[in-house]
Amino acid sequence: MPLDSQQPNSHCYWLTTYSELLCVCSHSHLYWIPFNEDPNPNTHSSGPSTPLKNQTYSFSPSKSYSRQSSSSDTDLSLTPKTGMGSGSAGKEGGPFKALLRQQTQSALEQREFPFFTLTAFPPGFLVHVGGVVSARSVKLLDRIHNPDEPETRDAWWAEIRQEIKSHAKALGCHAVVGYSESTSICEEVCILSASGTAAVLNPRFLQDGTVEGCLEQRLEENLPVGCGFCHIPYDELNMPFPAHLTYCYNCRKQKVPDVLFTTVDLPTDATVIGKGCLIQARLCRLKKKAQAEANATAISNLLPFMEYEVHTQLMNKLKLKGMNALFGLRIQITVGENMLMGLASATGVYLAALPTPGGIQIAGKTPNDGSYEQHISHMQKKINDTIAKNKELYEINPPEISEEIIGSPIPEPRQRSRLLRSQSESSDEVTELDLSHGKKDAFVLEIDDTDAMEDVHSLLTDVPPPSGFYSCNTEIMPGINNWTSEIQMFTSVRVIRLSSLNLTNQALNKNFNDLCENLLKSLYFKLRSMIPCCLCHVNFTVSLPEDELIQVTVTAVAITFDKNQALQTTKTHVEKSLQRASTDNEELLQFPLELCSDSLPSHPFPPAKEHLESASSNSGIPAAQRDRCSSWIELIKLKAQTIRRGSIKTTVTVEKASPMGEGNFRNRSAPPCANSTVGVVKMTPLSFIPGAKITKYLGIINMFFIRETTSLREEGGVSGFLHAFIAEVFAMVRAHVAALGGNAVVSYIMKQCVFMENPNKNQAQCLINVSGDAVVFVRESELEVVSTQQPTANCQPSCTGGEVTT
Amino acid sequence: MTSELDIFVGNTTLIDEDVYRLWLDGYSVSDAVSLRVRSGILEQTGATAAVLQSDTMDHYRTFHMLERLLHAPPKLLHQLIFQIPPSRQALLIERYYAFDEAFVREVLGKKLSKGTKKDLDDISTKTGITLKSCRRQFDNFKRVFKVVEEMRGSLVDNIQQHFLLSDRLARDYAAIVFFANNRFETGKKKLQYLSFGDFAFCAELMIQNWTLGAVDSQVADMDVDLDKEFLQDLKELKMLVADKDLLDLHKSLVCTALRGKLGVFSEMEANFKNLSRGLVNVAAKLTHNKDVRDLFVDLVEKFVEPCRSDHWPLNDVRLFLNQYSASVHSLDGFRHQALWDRYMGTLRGCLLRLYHD
Repeated sequence: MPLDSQQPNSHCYWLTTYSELLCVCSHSHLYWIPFNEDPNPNTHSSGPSTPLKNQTYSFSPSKSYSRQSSSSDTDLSLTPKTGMGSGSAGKEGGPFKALLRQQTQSALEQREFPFFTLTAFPPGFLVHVGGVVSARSVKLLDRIHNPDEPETRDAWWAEIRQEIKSHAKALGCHAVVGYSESTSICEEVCILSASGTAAVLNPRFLQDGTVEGCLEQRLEENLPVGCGFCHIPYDELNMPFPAHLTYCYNCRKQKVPDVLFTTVDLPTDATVIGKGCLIQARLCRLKKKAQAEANATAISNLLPFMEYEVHTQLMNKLKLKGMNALFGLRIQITVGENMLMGLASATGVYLAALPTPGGIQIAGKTPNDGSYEQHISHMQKKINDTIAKNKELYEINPPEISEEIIGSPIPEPRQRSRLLRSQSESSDEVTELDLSHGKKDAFVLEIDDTDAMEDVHSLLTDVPPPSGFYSCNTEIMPGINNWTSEIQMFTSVRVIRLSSLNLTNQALNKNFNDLCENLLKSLYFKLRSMIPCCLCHVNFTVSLPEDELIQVTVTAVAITFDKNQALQTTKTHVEKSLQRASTDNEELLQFPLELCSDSLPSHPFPPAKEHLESASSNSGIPAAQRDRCSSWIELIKLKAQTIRRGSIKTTVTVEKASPMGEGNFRNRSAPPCANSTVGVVKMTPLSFIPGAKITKYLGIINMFFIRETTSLREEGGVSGFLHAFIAEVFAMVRAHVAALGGNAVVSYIMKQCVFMENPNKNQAQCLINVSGDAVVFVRESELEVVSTQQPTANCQPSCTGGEVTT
Repeated sequence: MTSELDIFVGNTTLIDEDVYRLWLDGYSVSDAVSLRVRSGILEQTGATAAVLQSDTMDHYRTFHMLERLLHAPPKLLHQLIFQIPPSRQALLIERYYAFDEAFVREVLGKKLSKGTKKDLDDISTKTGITLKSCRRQFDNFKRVFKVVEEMRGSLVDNIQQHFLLSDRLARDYAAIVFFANNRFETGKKKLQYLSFGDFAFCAELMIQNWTLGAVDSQVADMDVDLDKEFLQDLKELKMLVADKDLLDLHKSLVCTALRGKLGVFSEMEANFKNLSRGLVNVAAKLTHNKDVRDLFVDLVEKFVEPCRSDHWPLNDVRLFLNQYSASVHSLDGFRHQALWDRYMGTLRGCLLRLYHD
């Protein structure tokens, strides 16, 4: 690697090869292709034969930095490393911290993989967040001995999970939250990816005691609110990677990094300044068409560079937005016949606890050329303008802090740090420059070739959303709290065909960038009637169905918010979010029957009034149930069980929903058949519905659809075909939910959308997999009315009351 | 880089009213895009032409899929594919069935057949309405006609029930169906000054008083066909002009009553016999289908034009017609008072509406 690991503030990573990892665990999701007869099946199994075959690139950037896991498999043992993890904690964290860590560790150590796929947690659950940990592995699917058995796949995933675990450990963390796994397959090559956020969890949540108890204790202990999770979990003197630490800007007691990347949602108690925004890094790399092993090698060689570049882009864009933390980071690497695509999406925010990000400096390579210098300074001016504009746009006005604590945010020209580009041809010059003394809060982008120019340009081509529009890929937008009930979930699919002639990386990048930008622009335009609104949970999926085709699928929900109350102080935000968290606890009560099943054995679901009673009473968790659920984790399990059971027991009476009120019908003298019997079913990728209370979970919806047409032209071409199909998928999901007696789908996700066409044969096929939770919700306003007026009456009809989405 | 596929599907179907209008007006996607660009939407929203193109395509696709449902509006309400709020559904239907005044004047009273459909090209050129839009409007007329043609009950109610139209639009369609069924001639040059509203007004009066439904509300076709028996009976009115004594008596009654009240009294007095003959002969001729079709031509020729050439003010026409109808009750030798009222009551309303420049 031509990268200089001595530079204290540069991006570096190390490449590690693991070849002897075997551990059996259940695999999550692995795509399967038929097993090809392998003439030499033994060569490329998981044995230590060819390193290239089983290469696992470990790349675990916490903050902007990458952590190296040393190149042997010894540190994968389950015992904590004393040098880095728990042993060092005592030095700086004080006795409490050490105690905390020990307790948590003992609680977590019994678990093989202390991984949480959840992304949102109760306040106080996350004690510290170390950073993003990720691992990838390139595998050949045709080398599996026994394709029908899961052993090999399980071993692959176990390998990756161990890797993740060891990364987390090296960051001084004992758990991984916001964990996810994914695969990308092209022919027989498969990239397995896993990523998560290394974290230290509050042991009380994992041991005995209820959620409430934990909250009380947390408050008693007087842990800093709103910044605790930002504090570094690792030892300052023995850091796993070079990092730039400062004292927390919130409590001034503990150290924080200058940037924080995570895969989880923003904790509800975090103090955020201004609004957040969607930040995407997009990258394409051409690769030669190759077969099997050669192909795997080519991919393996490209991957680390891509990871690095994606992070560089994220970092630069974050700086350009004037923000200092990323939440909900999701990096997707897609493999195609002749290219690799990388798409990273995250929500940038300004955390009050972290230092103000420095600007971006660009430096030219040939300083003698006058016109070139002029061009550079012009670009610099543009960048500075953009940063200033973004700060205004996202209302980032951090309180002034005295110089002595933070130092000058704009560094002296000679005192700036720099940002390395991964292009190998540029790195030689780079190392000669010495720019990294002293303060390190600005980035230097070096323009040393046309590629670099492109990069800087692409930084500036990202157009901010039109005014009144915000976007994020987390559940809700940091800094916006007053959502209205107007929501619009949508799916948008685009496929572009690349002109195959003379494709270069730059051209490819530009095409891909334009594709994503245009898609976002289209969304902003289409949803302009909802302004002021926010696109939440923006989920991009990239696939490469054919050589020259790029397919991007986006699912998100647009939620209108009340502009008048939008400018809330961060103080009330924290209060509100705490409130929200406590109502979340109440929501656990949506399964009273499951909790007391022996007392009410004959009813699969209790009458709705019980829900309402328990929901409207603010007394918290009843004592009996508190005893039953010894911990929060148990509760979650219970919830999951209920959901599962609910999907089988569909004995719920289907409430006749007649939500289309007469009053809404304009210009109408009400002919008899005008009253529609079709109920409105809301769909959202979020776990909640703004302004409403979920009173009942009816079960998981998980549906696969395959559609084929042999009359593509007659159905309006590919667009007509897919448009109709997706509309029908939505309709079928809604109908299914309505049949279960529900009126909404939450946590909706389109897991698969595989589209193939053959225009010459006038044919196309599409496979779609969607899932979500069917629920019954009640408007909060209605809930109040009902609970005050007739607390004992059956309120079921109001569950499906006349809500009309627009 | 070419776009192969580009779609947007919302859980709630997005309807852009402006694009819907462009689609209904029959513009192609590219025409619609350039019209939208001209409306200044790019400047307002900061969007690009490509975004506009994609958006327009999406809406057009959606409308195309909805069109099938719009052909039977109750289906739109009960379908599950597109989740559309009721107010939007109503708007979709109402706009889809709305028609252009210029177009409806061209086809009003014509047989809604393939033959007429072939003439749509000419109508399109003449009116400046796109052929696509003409087709949609023509097909709407035809569809409504086919559905309600043989139906029992009130024409307006039937239309409203099966097409979920607003009251006003349903009445307009009732007029169109009524005219198409009876094939009233409306295209003659001397009728060009009349608007669709004038005809629709007359149609409503005629439906109320001259059809089968006016006497019996349980027959099929009750509102679309004229009461044949009634038309047959109208022959009896002929004695009002054939019997010279009766005509003179009628004239003297009217003249006595209107003396001093009418600005155009002398003209009226001079023309009375001609006018009366005209009106009664129109009634007597209605037994023949051909003459039924020419009803409006006859009314304009025999009554509106003579009065207009003498510059009768509208109020004088009203006074005259009132007196002219009422005086018949005082004619002792005339026995068909009820018949006369049924005929003249409607005709008086129609004539007053038709009497303008």
